[in-house]
Amino acid sequence: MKDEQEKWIDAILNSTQGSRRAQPSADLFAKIEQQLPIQQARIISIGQRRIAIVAAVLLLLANIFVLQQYTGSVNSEATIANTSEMADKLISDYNIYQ
Amino acid sequence: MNSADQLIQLVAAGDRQAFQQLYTLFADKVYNTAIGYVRNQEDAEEIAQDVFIRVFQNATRFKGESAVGTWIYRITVNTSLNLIKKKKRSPHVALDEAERDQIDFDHPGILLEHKEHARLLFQVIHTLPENQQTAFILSFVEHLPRQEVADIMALSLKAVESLLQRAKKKLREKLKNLYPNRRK
Repeated sequence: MKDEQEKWIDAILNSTQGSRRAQPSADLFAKIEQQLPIQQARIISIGQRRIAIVAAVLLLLANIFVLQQYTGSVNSEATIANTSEMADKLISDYNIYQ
Repeated sequence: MNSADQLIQLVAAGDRQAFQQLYTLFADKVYNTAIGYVRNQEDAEEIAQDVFIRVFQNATRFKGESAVGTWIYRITVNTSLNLIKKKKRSPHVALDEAERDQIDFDHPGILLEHKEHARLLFQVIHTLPENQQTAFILSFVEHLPRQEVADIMALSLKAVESLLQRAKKKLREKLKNLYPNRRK
């Protein structure tokens, strides 16, 4: 009798062996999300937007100016180089006594 | 997927996607632990909600002194015990509802052949003192290694083993009274 009782108690104490974890319902995360603070979208004022646009335009114009300056200087260097080359040719062409 | 340590840092920065990933990692652990305490699905879900909200709110305070899982289990244990205390104090919980919780609880994960015995086990677990109940639930319902139980409870391994020994002794005594063919 006592053995039977002990076996029965052992079976109860071991009854969770092989068990799987209980799973919460599929919509639990949605319920949690609803309780979280609302994420605030950053609101940019019209004034700030205008300043941003003006700054972008100025930056663009500055870049265009710099680019023009650069390409202009490259062109004039190329012109000078070409002229020198031509000059050499001309000078060598004039070397009529050799 | 990021590790739990990486996720908690992202959650601390307000990353909602990271929070969802963290939820995916720990939802069943939290829920299963909770249901071991409260023995009904509705309360277990309420606890799980509270736990994850606390995780979100306190992610910035997590210092990494323990593993993220240990921290989350601790929150789950405390939230579960608090809900039990709250319900005991509440006059609105009907006695028959409480009795129904005690007798009819079928843990969804228990193997079919053990359901009858598990029903009795869950009937008597809640009669244990808090520490013994926690050690027992984490060890035998959640199936955590003893060291992890010790970490969660902030106790030594020896202390946890002692709690489990005393818990089993107490459960045996209670179960003797429930034995079907006992002599009166």
